[in-house]
Formats: sequence, C-alpha cells, structure tokens
Amino acid sequence: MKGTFFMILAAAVIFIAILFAGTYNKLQVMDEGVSANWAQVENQLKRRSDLIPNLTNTVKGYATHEKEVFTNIADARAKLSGAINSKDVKAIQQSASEFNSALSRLLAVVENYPQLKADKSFIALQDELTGTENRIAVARRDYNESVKAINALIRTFPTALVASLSGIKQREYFEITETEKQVPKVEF
Amino acid sequence: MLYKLNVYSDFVMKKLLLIIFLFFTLPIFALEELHFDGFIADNAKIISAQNKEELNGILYSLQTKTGADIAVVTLKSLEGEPIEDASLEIGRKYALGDKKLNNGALVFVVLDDRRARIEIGYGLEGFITDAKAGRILDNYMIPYFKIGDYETGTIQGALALAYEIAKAYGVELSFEKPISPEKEDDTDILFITILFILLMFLSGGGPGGLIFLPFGNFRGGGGSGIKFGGGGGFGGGGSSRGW
Repeated sequence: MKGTFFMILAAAVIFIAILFAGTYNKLQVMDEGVSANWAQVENQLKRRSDLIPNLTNTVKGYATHEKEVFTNIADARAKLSGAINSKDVKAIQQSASEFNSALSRLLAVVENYPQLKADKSFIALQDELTGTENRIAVARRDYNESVKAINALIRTFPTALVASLSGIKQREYFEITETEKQVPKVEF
Repeated sequence: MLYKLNVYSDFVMKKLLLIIFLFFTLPIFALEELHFDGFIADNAKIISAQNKEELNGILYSLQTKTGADIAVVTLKSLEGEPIEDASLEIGRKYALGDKKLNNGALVFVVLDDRRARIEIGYGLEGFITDAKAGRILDNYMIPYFKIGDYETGTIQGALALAYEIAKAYGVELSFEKPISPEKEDDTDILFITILFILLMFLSGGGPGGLIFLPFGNFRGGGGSGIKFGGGGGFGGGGSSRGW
C-alpha cells in the first residue's frame, strides 16, 4: 500500500518536472524569438538611417536653401543611432519618432521641386526609403505579435510560475506614437 | 471585406470584431480565396488561357533552375486594405520561394484600387532591390496600366522580374512545360485519405480535423503539377505604384 503511494508520488513529481521543463523550454524559445524580431526592427531602423546621407545629397543638389531641414535630419539620425546603441526600447521609440518627423519634413520640401521628383536617382532612393519604411512596419508588427504572445503566456497560470522562477520577464511593445501616425506618406 | 461578412454568419462577425480588438497591433486582412493555376491566381480575370500557359512555362523554368517562385496575383479590389499588407500575407501564406533560400516574389495587381506591387522575399532582396522593383513597375507595368492594357502590363512585369532573377542566378530561361504528375498525386491523396480514415476508425475516432491534413499541401499547384517551394520568408521588401 505504502509502495503504491510512493509510486504515485514519484510519477506525479516526474510529471510536474516534465511539464515544467517543457514550459521552460517553450518560454526560452519564445523569448529568443522576441529578441530576434527586435534585432530585425533595429536592423531596419539602421538601414533607413543609412539611406539618409545619399538622400540629403541628392536633395541638396536641387534644394540648396533648405539648410535647416538638412541639419534637423542629420541631428535626428545621430540621436537615433545613439539610441539604438543604448538598446533601450523606450529611447529608440522616442528618437525613431523624432527621426520620422525630420524625414517627413525633408520629403515635404521635395514636393516643391518637381525636377527633383523626376530625378532617376531620387526615384531609386525614394523606392529604397519607402521599401524600408514598409520593412520597419513589418518588423515592428512581427515583434509586437511575438511580445503579445509571450506576455500573454507569462501572465497566465501555470506558465507565470515557471517564468517567475526562471527569471523571464514581460517584454515591451514597440508602439506607434501619435505623431508618427500623422506622418504623410509620399506616394507616386 | 463587406461581401465577406455577408457570406459569413453573425457569429463569425462577432468573432472577427473580437479579433480586431484583441490584435490591435496587427491589421486584419480578409484575403479572398486565391485560385492558383500554376503560378497565377488571376482573380480579376485579365489574363487569357494561352498567355497563362506561356507565362507559367517561363516561371516554371525559373523555378526548376533556381528554386525561385514568382507568384502572379490579380484582384479586383482590396476593399481599402493597403496593398503592402495584402502582398506580405500572400507571400507568407502561400510560402513562396525555396524553403531554405526564401527566394519568393510576388507580382500583385489590384485593378479597381489602381495599385500594383512587386513584393520581394528575403532571399531575393540582394538581387532585386526596392529601386529595381520600382523600375520594373515604372518601365514594364505602369505604362500599360495607364492605357488600360492590364494583361500586357502584368505579363511584362512578371517576365521582367523573372529575367532579372535569372540573370542574378546566371541561368537562361526557356518555355518549359510543367510535368503534370496529376495522376500520381491523385492516387497519393486517395491513398493517404483512405489510410487516415482507416487509422481513425482503428483508433476509435481521432480528431476530425486530421482528415483534411493531406490536402493542406496542395493549395499551391491547383492540379497543374506546379507547387510553391514552401519558403514564405518575407519582410516587406519591394515597391508599390499607383496609376
């Protein structure tokens, strides 16, 4: 009789251990996935910021008097790359949104120069830029989805227990700020 | 979107609203069912049967030589959904491109929205930059669309993209008739289905959903012997244009 009790107890312990291990592994994999998605967001933000020198040079060729716009975007770019290096989601979010408004002012200037808009190399740059904007949107969406998935798991039982024991924390969303929502898209 | 809701029941609509509320980060796009004939899902019905066959032959040649898939999709309207979201969903859902190389691409034309897009998978981003995709749209597609010749514009765009990809891989394209393993496939499906039903009976009735599993892999080909590679790695690369 006693033997059966211990057998059942042992089976229960093993069962819980397996369950724990499974949940732990799943959480680790998901957490890694979130990090990978975040890296993609950073990559695309960097990629866009790398397009700026070429873009400003092309625009400068036509719009010589718009010094302020050029300074603004250069500053915003420096600030963004500083934020990306700091790895702080909130700071990146903030500086990315500032970068966005500087960029949209630059693109608004372009509207006043029809010859620039027809420039072949400008069109190519514009394509790269819109393409990268879209990549950022996709990367951000993928990242937020993975954050949503892991956060939901961490908040529910029994995963919550495993998460708190193994030190896996909820992740931050990369949100769209109000100003960004209003950024006018330049389309052909 | 509207007509979709009409088709579905109230329950689905409530569920849909719930999902929209839950997934605030994720735009919900109710993509209409695409019926692929080879690489082409011509829902807007602008490409003739003969041209379809010829284009499929070229795209098949590209697939056999490089593993790259180019899907060609035409729709009437997206009901206000951004073309970028829809093409990403198509690329991922239909798993375009080789499984490892992720070299899929999509030529996407939405007639009534007057928007076209070339979507490029991760594996082709190095060859077909956004600027290059934009140039294909500008040179081969939009000029035809402007004069209402959607068929030529769509085909020219797909061919231009195919030849660019072939050039990048260093191969020559030619018309290749897809080998149609239809008969074998059919017997395979039949066999697997019978096996499943048998297994289900033997195991005392498993989950009902399982029985449809064998069909899941056949959404690409549409009976033409052409299947997409199973890649689907898309991150929003490519270019869009209006006309």
